[in-house]
Amino acid sequence: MSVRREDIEEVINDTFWVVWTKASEFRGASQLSTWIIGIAYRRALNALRRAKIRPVSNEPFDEDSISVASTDAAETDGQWLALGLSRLPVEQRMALELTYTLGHSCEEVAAILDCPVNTVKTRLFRARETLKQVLPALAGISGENS
Amino acid sequence: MNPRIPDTHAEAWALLPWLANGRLPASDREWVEAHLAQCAECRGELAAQQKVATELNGQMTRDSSPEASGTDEHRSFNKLWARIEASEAAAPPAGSVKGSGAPVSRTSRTVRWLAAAVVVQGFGLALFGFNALRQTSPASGYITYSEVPPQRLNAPAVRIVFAPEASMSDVNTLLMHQGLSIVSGPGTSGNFTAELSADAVASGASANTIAAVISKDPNVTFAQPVAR
Repeated sequence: MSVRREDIEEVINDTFWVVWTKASEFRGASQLSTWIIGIAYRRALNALRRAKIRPVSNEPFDEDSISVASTDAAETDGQWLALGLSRLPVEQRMALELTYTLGHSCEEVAAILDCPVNTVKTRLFRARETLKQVLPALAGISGENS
Repeated sequence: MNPRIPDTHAEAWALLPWLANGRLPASDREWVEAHLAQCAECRGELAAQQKVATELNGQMTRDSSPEASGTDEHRSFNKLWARIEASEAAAPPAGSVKGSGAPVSRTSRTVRWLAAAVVVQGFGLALFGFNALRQTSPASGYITYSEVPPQRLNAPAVRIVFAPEASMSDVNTLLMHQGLSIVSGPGTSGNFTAELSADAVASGASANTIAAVISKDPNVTFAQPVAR
C-alpha cells in the first residue's frame, strides 16, 4: 500500500480545517485528544474512499519475505507483525493501534471511531483472530497455555 | 448497588486487550483477573496480546527516536501533546467552553486550537497504519510523516501572532500575499515564525518591511522581524 503526498496533505489540511472551524463546538464530552483523533480518522477514511485506496493488502501472504536468517527474534517478530497488520481491514487495524500503540481505553476508542463499545470489542476480537492466524509466535503462546 | 460481575470466559476474553494495555477500569479488572486465575486459555491470550502491545509500542518508540526520524519533530510532537493534555487537566474545558458560561480568553483558545492542529499535522497518518509511508523515499513522490520541508539557511523571517478572530482563509491569504511560509510554531504565546520566500526577497522585501506591513493587518496582533 502506498499513499501519495497529495492524499496525506489533503487529510492533514481537512483535519486542520475542521479543528479550526469546529473548535467552538467542542463541549468537553471527551478528551481533547480523543476529539481531534476522531476527526482525523474520519477525514482519512473519506480520503481513502475518494482515492479508492485499499489499505488491506490483497497480496498472497509471502512467508519468504520474512528473514529466517535473522538471529534477532524481535526483528523477525516485527516483520511478522507488519505483515499481519497489513491483512486487517482499516477499522480493525485502527481499533488495534489505538488500543496498543496509543494506549486508549475501550470507551475512548469507541468515541474516536464513533461506534458502540461492543463494536470496538468485536473489531479487536476479529483483529486478534486474524493476527493469530498469520503470526506463529502468537499462536505458539496461546497454544502453550491452552 | 453492587456492580454486575459477569465472570464469563467470553466477556473476559473480549476485555483482555485493555488488561494488556493497562486501561481496564478497576471494577472490570478485578473480575477479569479472578477469571484469569482459573483459565489457562485466557492467560495464554493475555500473554499473546501483551506481546503484540509490546511490539507495537516498540515500533512506535523506534520510529519516534531522533535517530530513526532524523529530526526532532517527533520529540516536539510528544512534548506538545503532553502540554495540551496537561493544560486540559489543569483547566478542564467543560466549565469554560460548555454552554454560554464564563468566556475563555479568545487568544488562549486560539492558541489551544492552533496547537491542536499542529499536533494533527505532526501526528500525520501514522495513526492510520500507513506504515508504507516510512518505507518510501521522498524522491519517489511519497513522503514520510516525519519529513519536514527544507528551510532556507538564514532566510529572512518574522515572528507573528495572529488575531483570535482570524480565519484559516484570512491567514492563508495574508501569508500568500506577503510570500511567507510558516516554518515553526505555535510557541508558548501562540507565535509563529514565517520565512520570506526567495521571490519576496528578490523583489526587495525584508523582514523589517514585511513585519511593518503585516502588523497593520487586522488579522495580526503582533509581528516582529527575527534577528538572524
